[in-house]
Amino acid sequence: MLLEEECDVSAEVIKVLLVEDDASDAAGIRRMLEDSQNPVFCIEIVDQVQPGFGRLTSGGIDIVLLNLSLPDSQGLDTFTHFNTHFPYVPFVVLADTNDEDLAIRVVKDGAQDYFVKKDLNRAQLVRAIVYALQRNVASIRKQQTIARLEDLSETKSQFVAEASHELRTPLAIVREFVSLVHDEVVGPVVDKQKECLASAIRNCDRLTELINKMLDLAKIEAGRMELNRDKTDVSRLLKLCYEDFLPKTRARGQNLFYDIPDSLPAAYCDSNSVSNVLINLVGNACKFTPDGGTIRLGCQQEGQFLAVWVQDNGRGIPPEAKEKIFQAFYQFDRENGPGAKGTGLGLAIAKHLVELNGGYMSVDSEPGKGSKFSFMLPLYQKEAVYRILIVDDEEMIVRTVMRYLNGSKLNLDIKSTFSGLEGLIIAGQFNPDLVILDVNMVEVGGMKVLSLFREKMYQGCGKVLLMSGDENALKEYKEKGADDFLAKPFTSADLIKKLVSLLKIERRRR
Amino acid sequence: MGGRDMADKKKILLVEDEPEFRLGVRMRLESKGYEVIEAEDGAVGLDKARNMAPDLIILDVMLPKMEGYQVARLLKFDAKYKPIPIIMLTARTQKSDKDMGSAVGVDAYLTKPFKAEELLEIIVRLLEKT
Repeated sequence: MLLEEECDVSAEVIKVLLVEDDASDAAGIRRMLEDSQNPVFCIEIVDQVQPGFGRLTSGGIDIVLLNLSLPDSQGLDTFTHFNTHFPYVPFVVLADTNDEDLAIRVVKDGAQDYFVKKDLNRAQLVRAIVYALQRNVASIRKQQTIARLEDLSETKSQFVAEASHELRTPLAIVREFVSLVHDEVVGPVVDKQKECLASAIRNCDRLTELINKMLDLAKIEAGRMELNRDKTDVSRLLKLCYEDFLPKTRARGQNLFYDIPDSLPAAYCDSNSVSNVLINLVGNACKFTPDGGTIRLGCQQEGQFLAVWVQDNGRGIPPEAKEKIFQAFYQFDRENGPGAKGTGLGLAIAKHLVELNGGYMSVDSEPGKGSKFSFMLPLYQKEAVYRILIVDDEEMIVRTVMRYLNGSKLNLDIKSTFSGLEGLIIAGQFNPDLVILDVNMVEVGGMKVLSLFREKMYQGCGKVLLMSGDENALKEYKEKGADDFLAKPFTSADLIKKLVSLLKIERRRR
Repeated sequence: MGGRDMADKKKILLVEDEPEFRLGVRMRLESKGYEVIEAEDGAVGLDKARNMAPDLIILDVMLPKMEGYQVARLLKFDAKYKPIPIIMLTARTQKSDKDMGSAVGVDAYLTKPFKAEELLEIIVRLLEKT
């Protein structure tokens, strides 16, 4: 039932729909808002979901204040119901005292803010509504931008695919005719002519490689690279790569070695792409190592990863180039001396492929001291062991969390640290599935640690659960990259519930 | 080529819609002693495959009138023509193309541009098998 008349439409007025069945609460809120001079509110009140729907459908409502426990709906269902049908309208949730946990959940699900009714005052409510409106606009704009960017990326990928297919046939024809003349199929050629033609053929092959690599890169960037990750014996891939390159290195008097321990755990990765990465790295090593130089391939277990590396004693990479070396089309050799030019795409693709396999890549090099390119691959796990890293500077919290975790029925491998910075280092080797991170640490704040995790770490960082006694952190956490939020103090049940929901998602993705 | 016995000359059917590409491949194959029959689309290709008894077929994936895979499937699912080796040519590098090729039962797969030596090697290998 619509209890109040609709307001006059005026541009400067914020039109609020209050969905509240308690008449005195509703009257109280109405009074708070009507007192406001700047901004001016126009309030309409309904006492059930159905009329609320009806009113929203007619349009003209800027924001909804929603009580979750209405007679014809309950709690989360109420909000979900509204939000699904009106995704662009901001909602501020009103909760009764004992609904606070629920209110936190609906905010996570997309409501702009929540209030416990008995704590409400006018200034707070007005401010909350204004901010909710602003955030909503920003959020819609962000969603639209993301959609547009994803669209553009897909379009780009399609364009590159089309263009590369179109380029191939004429290129094939050029190559074939030039090589027909070179091979003397259509008549004799003198040596000098042969040389010219050989050069033309080589460049046809360069073009082919460039087209293939551009296509790969576009596919990867559009998220359409198909990988088959499985239990893989990386030492076998290394040996195959070694055998492939042996003739080439022998021809230049280079020494090629491999360093593989007798027992090596299996990695979890796609063998084709890892082979491609190896071919790229070893190819580069050969190119940038002088005749007579040495190239080593190796792998070993490092924590929860398999580390693989290619090391050469060639000319090394200066610091300015090191920063750019993984960028697409950056050609190190363009500025640094003779030798056949590459495509500039190999390392960019290699880095992407490693990351798609759940690993990360790095380079260690100095001019004159050679280079070592390494990458990490996650180990193959037969049974699901979830790795948890707890980061909190309060010892009691860490002990409590560990107690809760050990009390769960889950198969967990738990590490902890009191330092955010140490946490980053540990995560690099440990590869946690979940990081439980405190927001308010003294040395380096949790939010900063969180952004560092998301920045520096490879994509497989896993989920981050933020802990805090501070409700304001709630609003920021999603933007900073946390996957969920746990308000202190919390019970064992609270923690385990979050854990199970976060890790289940993680498991399917991997 | 002059001194060869006609019976020795292997017949290769080349089904490809780009005339210049056909010309280049024809010149290469003839220089190696093969007899070349050409077809400019899938329908003509299928017809010639059935009526001219080629020893090997080079078949492009993208063809007018009838798709390369369609031609390949019709030949491979017919006991009479199944033994003729088929090399699929493509400008595309999708994994799905290769899967399609294996599903139909083609004998080899080459991506354009390819090196003439590669094509010739595959032809020799496939002809030796039959």
